[in-house]
Amino acid sequence: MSAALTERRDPSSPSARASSRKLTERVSRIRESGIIAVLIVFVAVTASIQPRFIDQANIQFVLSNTTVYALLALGETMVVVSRNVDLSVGSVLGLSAYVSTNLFGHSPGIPVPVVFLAGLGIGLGCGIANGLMVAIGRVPSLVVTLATLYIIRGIDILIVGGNEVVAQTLPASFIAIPRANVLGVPYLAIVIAAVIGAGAYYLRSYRSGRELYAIGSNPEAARLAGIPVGKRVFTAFTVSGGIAGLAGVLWAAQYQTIDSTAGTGYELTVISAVVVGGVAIFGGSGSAVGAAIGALLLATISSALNVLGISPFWDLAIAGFLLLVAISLDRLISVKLMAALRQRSSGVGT
Amino acid sequence: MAAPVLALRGVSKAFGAVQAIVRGSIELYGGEAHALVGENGAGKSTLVKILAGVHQPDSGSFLIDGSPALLHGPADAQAAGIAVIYQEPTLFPDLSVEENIFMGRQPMRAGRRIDRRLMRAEVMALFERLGVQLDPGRVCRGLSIADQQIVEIGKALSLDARVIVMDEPTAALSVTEVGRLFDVVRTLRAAGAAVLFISHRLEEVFAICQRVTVMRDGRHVLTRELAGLTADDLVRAMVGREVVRREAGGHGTPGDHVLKVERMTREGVFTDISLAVRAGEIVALAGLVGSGRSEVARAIFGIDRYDAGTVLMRGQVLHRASPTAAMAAGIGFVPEDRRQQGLVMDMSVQQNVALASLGRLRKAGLIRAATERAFAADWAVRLKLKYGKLTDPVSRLSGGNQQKAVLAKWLGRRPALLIVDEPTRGIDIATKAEVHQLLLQLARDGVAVLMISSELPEVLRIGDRILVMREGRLTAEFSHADVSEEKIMAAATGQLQGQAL
Amino acid sequence: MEPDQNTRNAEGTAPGGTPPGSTGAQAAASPRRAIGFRAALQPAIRWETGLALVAVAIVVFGGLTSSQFLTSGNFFNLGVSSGEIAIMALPMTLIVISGEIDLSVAATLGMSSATLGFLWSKHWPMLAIFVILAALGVVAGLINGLLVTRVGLPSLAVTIGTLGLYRGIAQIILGANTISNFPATYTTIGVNPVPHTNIPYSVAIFIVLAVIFGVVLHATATGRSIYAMGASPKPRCSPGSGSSASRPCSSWCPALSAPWRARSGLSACPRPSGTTPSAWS
Repeated sequence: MSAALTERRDPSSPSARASSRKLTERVSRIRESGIIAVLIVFVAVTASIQPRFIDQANIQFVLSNTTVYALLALGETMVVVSRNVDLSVGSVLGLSAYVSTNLFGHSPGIPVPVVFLAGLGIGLGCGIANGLMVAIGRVPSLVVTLATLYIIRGIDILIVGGNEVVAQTLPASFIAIPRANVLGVPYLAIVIAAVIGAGAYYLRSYRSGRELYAIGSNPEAARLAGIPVGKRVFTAFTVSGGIAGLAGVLWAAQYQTIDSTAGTGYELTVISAVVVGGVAIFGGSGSAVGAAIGALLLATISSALNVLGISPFWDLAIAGFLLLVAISLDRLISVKLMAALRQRSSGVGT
Repeated sequence: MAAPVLALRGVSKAFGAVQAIVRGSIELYGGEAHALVGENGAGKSTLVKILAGVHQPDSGSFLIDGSPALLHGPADAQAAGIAVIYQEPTLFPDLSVEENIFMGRQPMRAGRRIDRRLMRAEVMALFERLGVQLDPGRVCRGLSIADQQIVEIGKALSLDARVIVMDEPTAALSVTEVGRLFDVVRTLRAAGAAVLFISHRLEEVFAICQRVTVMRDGRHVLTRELAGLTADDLVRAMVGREVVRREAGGHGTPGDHVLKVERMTREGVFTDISLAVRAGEIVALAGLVGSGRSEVARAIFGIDRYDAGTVLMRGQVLHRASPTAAMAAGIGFVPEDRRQQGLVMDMSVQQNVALASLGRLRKAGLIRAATERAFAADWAVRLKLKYGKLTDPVSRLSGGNQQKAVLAKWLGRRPALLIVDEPTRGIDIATKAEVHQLLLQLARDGVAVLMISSELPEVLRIGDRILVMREGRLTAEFSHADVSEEKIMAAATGQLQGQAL
Repeated sequence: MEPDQNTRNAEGTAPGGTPPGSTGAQAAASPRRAIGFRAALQPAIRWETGLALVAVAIVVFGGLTSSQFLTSGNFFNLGVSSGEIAIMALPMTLIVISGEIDLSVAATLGMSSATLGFLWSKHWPMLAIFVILAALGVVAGLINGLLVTRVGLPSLAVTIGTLGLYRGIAQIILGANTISNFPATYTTIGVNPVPHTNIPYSVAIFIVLAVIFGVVLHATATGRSIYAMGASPKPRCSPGSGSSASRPCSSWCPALSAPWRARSGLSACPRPSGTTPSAWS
């Protein structure tokens, strides 16, 4: 006879087992649809107070605004899911916005795609720097990206000086990008939605995407399992940087006046969007689609404030507050869920 | 005999100044289960890490099928057909069971996309082979330790490995699951794989393995067929000295009641727990994994809450859910998981040992390193704690010495009641005996001891009274004189209604 | 102890006694001697030494590049501009060692700064404003602390949230205004040195606080528990590690830092330039 008193209780019946999975799935579906529900309620309430909120022009405006944040949210999701954080996205956006569009002034007649490539290149460069330090230098990403947040902003200020890029220097084809519509929906929004869908699909259905989740869920286990942690994290930061670079060019097309303050503080909004959208801040779970919806929610709220005549100074406070509410709720949900799962797994006790 | 599938010959590995393995050797043959035994600190886990590709040997040869192999990392080891099941499950809690098993090797369909249907089918087949019923789509968070081990074994099986290393695989498995595991080992052997089985449980070694290698102090001591050896032979080889199994003699008459628990209940976890521990007696709390023993202990100490009932320390009611109050009342608590909850791994040995006694060690609110050091050195001597320097991080100590450090920390407070949860889990035989002697000595000195243990020999060896829990309730109480392994087991599985409860 | 050849410096000399030049020759002579020297040097090989060397290098570089650098006036200005940050860094040290982070520090400073300006423009007495600011700082810190300890949220996410919240509140309070015209008695604290010295008030305060914090961190039970919290990943306030002070500490670490930030906000504002919402972004 074995000397250990470790006879387990009766294995749970098939129905109890399946119910654990159903419970988890149900909870995550509620969480995801929860944001959509909040969004709908919010829009409904605001529209009832100020019907102007849901007219064509405003919807287009909101969708255009969202595109930049949603793009940033995609890149940030990849990073956060692997238990890292990229705080430098705002600075990268700003640097890319200025440097790329400045090309229009310097070399008139430059094709618009080249400018996009320039932005992408700048973003990739910054992303590579971040990625190298985090993956190879093994410096915590919080520290690295906090530093590059300031370094890149500093470089931006150095380059920009007191100048700015103004609308007059931008070609009409460039400015038209955020404004082109298809059946009343901004063309750009559709493209970005497709990009995000592709990103989410990658994270869900490709090995390297799943490995990012694994790294975030248990970094030690990921190493032991032979996952190339350094390579994956490096790639995540590079992609995040590249996306931020692209977002910078789009931002420029939208706002048309770019100085050294472009993108300041965006990291807060992006991380709020990502967390509100259901991506766990410690990684391992969440989806890019959720993050994009989070971005949409934040942009909607910002626009609602505008429409309702509330000072835009409330924007920042609300974004911060929403983030706190989202993580508190998530925490509450996960605590309850864990208790329920434990019960179903082995009945009384653990 | 055919050539070994895997051979380590004369392998050495040092970490800084510490020689973990000196000219260690082992040969694994296909179709055979090979046991690796040795005290903690003997070099077993380093050997495992070398096989897993996590560490590279400093010298010696590592041969796979007769040709030298150099593994640069776990991926190389996997590619070479070596699968390692670690003592602590290394799963991804946010991902599903099937994803955990196949992470990095998920079956793919067109366009290199993951084929989830195929993955599910393969996992179901694996579980069928194992004879387990676990939902592959379920997230791993919240799985019991036993289930986590199953997932780990599934991982190894899915690799179709030729060498399967199992490091203390049965630590948290039930009797049935251990039997199942043995069946799996036999199946693997029949398929030609080599199994390396590391365990402290000698009865399991004799049950399932054909040959054994004993290591001691990083060196190879012997490799022999198990047939014809006895457990004492192995123990002697492991410790190099006779380890006498001593029965717990009478400890003298117990004194006053120190701890009294009255009808403590926590919804869904434990019900109506009433027990008492007197000064100078060792009360063992036995029962199956999941019966709620650790939860009771944690509730007494105040880490977890409880919904009804009272806890009295020396006649005074103890505040619920307040470890501070428990400590002030004279309770010490040595937790089940010493690495996460018992020690601060990055702090030095002396800092850890002194950590719970800072109140007494400080002068005018300030702590002097010299005072700390003296305190720790004193306790290290008393507990025969082996360390390099007291200022070394405590993570460098072996498992047995870490446990001693946790004990030293709590004993330094001179508690009236010491609660120990699995005091000798994962510890080598010699240190185990030392810890038992320590607990016996404590009892002789008048301390009340409440010990939770899943190891029956331990319970029988030093328990004065044995309480058995089952599914959150106390089902039996035995005194040292009239207990047996069979009776405890019966009470734990509900086949016997014990006395006086 | 094996006998050493070439005994010029006996192994028993005090750690600082072995001249660096001798290592080369004597390392070959006896490995034990080399190890002794290396072990003696061990305590000096730490992060702070590197930092100190870099600081010295920068000072040297500055002195060589400009004749104005090594003047007391320049160092005074350095002190004025970095004093507040140094003060805020002290409680931040405790927080980071305990394994947390607080990104909302500057935002809290901005918020208290904005409150200062706002209340001053409403003609509140300065003393009352000080009290309000201190309380505000404590509340701000407590919110962080409680969310992290009681609710169990990760400090990174919490302080990113409060960063936005406090900065937003600062913006809401002040709008786009700039407030200046603070009374001279208070502004002088910001720009003048402590009498009879050339040290700014903020640096003097920092020095005093640094000593206190140092002692607390390295030689008290509370300090130990802060290190313990930082080292154990999961059960941050695990009583199993024996430190009963852990849980309240996590709450009051951020709370402690907040009044200093309020204080810093105070000494930052009374500089004649006044306070604007974006002053401390």
